[in-house]
Amino acid sequence: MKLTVPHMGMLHIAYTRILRENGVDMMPPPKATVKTLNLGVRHSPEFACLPFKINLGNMIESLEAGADAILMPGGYGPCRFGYYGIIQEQILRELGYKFRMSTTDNPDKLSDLIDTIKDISSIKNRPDGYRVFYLILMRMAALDRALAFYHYYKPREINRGETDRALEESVRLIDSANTYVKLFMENFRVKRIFRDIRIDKRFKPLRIGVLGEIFVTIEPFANLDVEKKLGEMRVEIVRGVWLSDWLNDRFRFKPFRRNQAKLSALWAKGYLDYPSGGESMETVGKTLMFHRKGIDGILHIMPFTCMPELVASTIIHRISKDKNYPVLSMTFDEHVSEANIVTRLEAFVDLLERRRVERLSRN
Amino acid sequence: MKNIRVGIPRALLYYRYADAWKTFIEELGYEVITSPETTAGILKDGIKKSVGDLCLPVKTFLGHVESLKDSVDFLFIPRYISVEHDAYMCPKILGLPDVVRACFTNLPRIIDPMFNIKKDKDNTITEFSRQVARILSLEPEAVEKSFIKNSGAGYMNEQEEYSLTDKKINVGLIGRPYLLFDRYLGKNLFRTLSELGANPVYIQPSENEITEAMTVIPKWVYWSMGKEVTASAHAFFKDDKIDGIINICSATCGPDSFTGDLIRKRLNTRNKPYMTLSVDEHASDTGIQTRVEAFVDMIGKVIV
Amino acid sequence: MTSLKGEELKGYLGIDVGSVTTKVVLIDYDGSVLWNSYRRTMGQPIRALQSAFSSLKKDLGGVDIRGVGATGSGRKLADHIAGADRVKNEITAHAVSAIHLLPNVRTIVEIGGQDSKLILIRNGVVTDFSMNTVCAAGTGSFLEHQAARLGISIGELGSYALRSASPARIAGRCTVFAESDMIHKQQMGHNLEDIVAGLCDALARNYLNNLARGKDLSSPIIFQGGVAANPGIKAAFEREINKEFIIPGHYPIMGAIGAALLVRDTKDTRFKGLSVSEQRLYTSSFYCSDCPNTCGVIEINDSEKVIARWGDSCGKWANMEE
Repeated sequence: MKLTVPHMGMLHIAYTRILRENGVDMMPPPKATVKTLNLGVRHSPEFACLPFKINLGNMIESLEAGADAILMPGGYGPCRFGYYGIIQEQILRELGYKFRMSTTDNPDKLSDLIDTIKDISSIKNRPDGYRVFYLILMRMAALDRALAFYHYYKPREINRGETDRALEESVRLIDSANTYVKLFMENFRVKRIFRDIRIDKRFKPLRIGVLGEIFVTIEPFANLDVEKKLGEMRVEIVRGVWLSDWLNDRFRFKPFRRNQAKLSALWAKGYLDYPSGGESMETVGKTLMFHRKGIDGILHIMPFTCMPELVASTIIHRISKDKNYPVLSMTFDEHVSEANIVTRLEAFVDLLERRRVERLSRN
Repeated sequence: MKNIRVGIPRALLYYRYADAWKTFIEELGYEVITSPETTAGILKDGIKKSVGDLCLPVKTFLGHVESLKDSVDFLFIPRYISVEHDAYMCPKILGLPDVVRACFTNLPRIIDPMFNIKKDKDNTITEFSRQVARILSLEPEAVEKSFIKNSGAGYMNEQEEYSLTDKKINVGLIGRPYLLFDRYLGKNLFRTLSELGANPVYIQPSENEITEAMTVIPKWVYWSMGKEVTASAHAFFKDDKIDGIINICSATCGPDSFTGDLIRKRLNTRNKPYMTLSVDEHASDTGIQTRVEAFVDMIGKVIV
Repeated sequence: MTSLKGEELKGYLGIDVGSVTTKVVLIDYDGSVLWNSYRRTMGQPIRALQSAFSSLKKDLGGVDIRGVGATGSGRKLADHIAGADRVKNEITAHAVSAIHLLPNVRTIVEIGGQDSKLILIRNGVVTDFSMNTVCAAGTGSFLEHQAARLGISIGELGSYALRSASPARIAGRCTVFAESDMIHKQQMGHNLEDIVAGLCDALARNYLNNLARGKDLSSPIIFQGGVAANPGIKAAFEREINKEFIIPGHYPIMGAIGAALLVRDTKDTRFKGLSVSEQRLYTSSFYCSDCPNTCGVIEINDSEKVIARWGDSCGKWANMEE
């Protein structure tokens, strides 16, 4: 059985090696390209959201490349994600593919997940299942931490491209860490690699808070690599959504990290009193939090027709008016053109820059 | 003493709970003001108030709020999260009171009690009533009694009864009540079909019909209205007297993009004529007319 | 067309008033086209119709018109002006003519000025259809507009596209975005041929994604409507789905032919006569202010008299007796 799971940011780096070493024949989908997107778009319902279409493209390409089993998390709403697997399986069967599909209906329930791992791997007992699962979580956290370093160092680097190389090297190190002890050691090395980057200490970059629907926000292919584009414009990204936070909210593995959904709900009070699914609460709460922390502006990222983020987007535009706080909403789907994105990002950065100059000259 | 007036926007869940809400609020001693039927003007106001790509029904809702807000003391916009244990309302309905607050300034106070069976279980109505009572400074017990007494009343379909006939072409209509029964948004499908000599049929699926439909598809649909639409579709596809089915939906509706796929692929096993009419604020009446005419032609096999 | 005077000609008239062009066709009982006219509506459908009628009279002299069928988005207007025996939507009309031409047709792709349609036929009966909703990115107006912007005539578009070796990829849900992306591609230095071919690909892809999603496009496929004139689009479609597209000889007037075919059994026609072309007809419109719907009501006037009204959703004006 060759197992594949659709891409989501760097998640595949966290699990592939570990599961392979435990007897799972893992096959991450080929790197997404325009072809992936075209395949996904052609076979999806027209107004399905972008993550659905990219996932489907990943699945088709994996099946073409020889995978014969797909693992797709499920759920029970209210966002559409919980129903993805069902519709995708239906489409793939109609296209004539033969494969085994498992949709874990309770992705929040730890024991179910451990059982799934036991089912597909050579792991025989539950404690080993937990050990492997938490190692994957920790690796994900390490990857996210490296990316946060990248966000910080990229706008400040003196030698162009040094930070990109540091990130590549870090990912390689984390990928090679297949035990808790090794991961612990590599985390130190990663920190050192970034600290060695020559940076301009006097330069104070603009800081933009990046929030939104988690898939499109953390998947560079889906958002046309906005974070890299901003980094090259010498802007520091303060990301408000992380896959490891999402996982930590459910499986508690970072003892010093608060539950981000609950934290956001505290901030959002008065603007959004009950979560509308997805990352709506994080988007609203963290917009207010970033405003208080003096982040220069918010880039809000969402797929076209995304239900939870449409609610959040309406509300953060009100916050933007109430607090005179710049918010740029970007909606992504297969029709978005690169030129359009670049133009809007540049204009937004210019606007923030002008505001900062004005603010400084007033003080 | 002047009556205290509570406004109910004629949109979204109005088309499901209007009668229950009206009698409930009247019994508490308030005057109920309902906004008029949707018009081009109301929709235009709603579009002006909304940001980004909110869907047509939500934009319409905002238009109704606009038409009510200056003439009432309270707006009744309850937050319906879940009305059954196994399904949610759609995310935009979950956030509706917050969306309304975000889109307006100078609003009257919103009565936004939460109805959430998934969380409050057996205490849902008590909890709902407690919040209403708190906002209106009333006795929670009295509110609860009144709510329970009136909760049986649903939305009385203002259209005449549409039932099956043997003589004409019977067209089953499925779709969310707030599109189908809003004459403006729903493009008056009932009348259009009657004028073409077809007989429009609408059903509210029963518990059994819902349960049966859910066994045919691979996974329980977890949106209340999406589930009902799917179940009506299933009932219509099975019924020999129904000659064709029209599914009216808002173009960018999230749940409908998925249930539409299920209906087309899983339920239409007998290959009955089936058409999706998607509407948005640009949809022209001529375009809808053309499609419905062609659909009726197709069922009647009017080909020389 | 040469004069066929002498024995008086009998025939059936089909009128298709579209948003961009107005088509009038005269057929005999077997469905052969005796005469046809294809002209731009130019926003004046009445004028277009009248001038079609007067050239019919000039070309053929007296003609015995036994029945009239009207179709197209202006079918109501055509009915009010000429008097039609059947007023049919254009989806049915297109299906009727395609089936008449090729009885075993299974798929009809129709792309006109502002509408595009997909009709599926099984055993001579329409079994499914779809029509573009609001977006004009997959229609003739879009192509024409872009051809004008690129400085080539609409007629040359096809030959440019066929010369391209690697079509540019043009993104965009709607005309505005497609246009800005096209400009961007030009600025990046793609040559004209590749951009035109990219445009054809974008149109075909948009059509397939919007209308044909999940539908079985099986052969034989007939491609009709004004856009079928463009070999670049035909090639783009064939590249995309790997099936042959058959273009009928009368591709731009198939809707009108269908409307005419539908009235071949008319007993007493309601046709008002070709003299309609000499009447002084004009339209006027007003916004009814009786309710907030503010429907635009359209009136057709013959000198002083209002001969028809429509456009109101409640029907109060349309049914008013003068």
